[in-house]
Amino acid sequence: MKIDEPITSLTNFEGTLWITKDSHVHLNGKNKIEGLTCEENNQITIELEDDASLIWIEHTTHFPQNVTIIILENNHTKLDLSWYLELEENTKLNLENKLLGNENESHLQIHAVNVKASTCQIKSTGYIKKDTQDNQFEEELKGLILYPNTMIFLPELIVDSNKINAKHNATMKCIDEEEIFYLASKGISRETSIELIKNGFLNKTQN
Amino acid sequence: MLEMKHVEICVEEKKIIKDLSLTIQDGEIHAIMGPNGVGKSTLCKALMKSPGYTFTGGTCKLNGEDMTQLSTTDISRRKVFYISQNPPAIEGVTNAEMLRMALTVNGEKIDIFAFNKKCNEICARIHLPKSFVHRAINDGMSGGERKKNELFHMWMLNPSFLILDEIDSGLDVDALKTVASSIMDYYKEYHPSILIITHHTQLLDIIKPDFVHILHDGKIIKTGTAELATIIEKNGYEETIGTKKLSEEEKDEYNENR
Ligand SMILES: Nc1ncnc2c1ncn2[C@@H]1O[C@H](COP(=O)(O)OP(=O)(O)O)[C@@H](O)[C@H]1O
Ligand SMILES: [Mg+2]
Repeated sequence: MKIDEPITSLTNFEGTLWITKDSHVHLNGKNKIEGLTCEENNQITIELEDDASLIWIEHTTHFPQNVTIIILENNHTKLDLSWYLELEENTKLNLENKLLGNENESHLQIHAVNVKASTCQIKSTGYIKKDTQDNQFEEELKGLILYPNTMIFLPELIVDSNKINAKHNATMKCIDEEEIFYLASKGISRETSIELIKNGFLNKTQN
Repeated sequence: MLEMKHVEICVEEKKIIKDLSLTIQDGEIHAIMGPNGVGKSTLCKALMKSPGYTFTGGTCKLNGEDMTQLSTTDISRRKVFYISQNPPAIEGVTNAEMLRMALTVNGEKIDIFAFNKKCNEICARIHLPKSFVHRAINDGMSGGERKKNELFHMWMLNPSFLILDEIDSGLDVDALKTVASSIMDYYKEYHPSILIITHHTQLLDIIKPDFVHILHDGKIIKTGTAELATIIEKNGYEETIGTKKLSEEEKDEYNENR
């Protein structure tokens, strides 16, 4: 679906989003985004209205530079974000998840790998507003490093409320030589092993 | 045939295997026993060319070919199959994917219908639930399941030389029987050569070795038949190989007899 208005409201949306300029999208009901296309320097706000839910799955090889994505959650919302980013070019991504009301649930999982020696910076901020209650925030940021010094994670959690259940985790790993050896001992070449491990990390298993 | 002559193996510049000679003919089963830390796993890993384990002396030939010049992938493609003491888990990579890649040699596409059928047949044969075919390799599997999962790979890849490093470690009696019997079934069908490392005769009662060797101080210091394993289990390594330190009383007795 193509969006070229600054403000849009959608209910029970399901599919891919193509956003051409800075915009604010209000979501109601049950929603599922399966892929976002946007442009350099865009600022996109996705707002979950009361009782709305969003499942957001991203399998991408391209993210434009300097994109800021803000996800706002009002009351009693549910967010399930699973992003698998296989990045080919320099990427600077800024993700903000703001819990503004009560009883919201956020699960964010981001797996990133850069397949060329480009630099990839992901800034992820969780923000829980003052005087809110019963919010749950869980984030896992994982990087697989194929080229040294190419990935930067900037995770941050700003919590103004003490009635919150928050988990926050960022890890980066290189390809494990023990795994390569194991796969080689089954007759698989080094290049194929790396491909297998990378695809596994990006949840790209095809049966 | 695997032929090792005066082999030396170093790990991180430390010489672990000092002078080892051993020939394993096609279809023979050889067991290597020896106290912990003596270098049994080191030998297996060096044979598989695990990084950091290097041959520094002697000769090692697989069917006449110099093994020291081969990579791990080459060795596996020459039908050598290795089960390590602790097979690692590989997140996100399923058995099916890995096996399909392993069976795709020279870019030749495999028949996916025949592949799936074979997976299912083998699972039934080794009592592994079919769901394991599409599970990530060893991920979230118990010790016993991991070993069975390795056997699944073995049956699929159809090797002619097995290197089995303490496959009984961490298995309960029933799991041990299942695993050992499956290897024996495989042996009866395909007659591979087997190099097996273990401390226990339970395993060797099922996988019956033609020869049992004791590794000590970087060398094979004793070779016998399956009976040697029974003696070791009964008396321990020290007494069997004569390295046991004598107690004061025993020393007196020894001196008196002299
Ligand atoms: N990767 C390694 N780094 C350093 N030392 C090692 C390594 N692997 C094995 N060793 C050393 O080599 C010796 C033999 O170990 P190992 O082959 O595992 O013995 P075994 O299998 O007979 O119990 C030990 O002293 C062990 O500490
Ligand atoms: Mg060992």
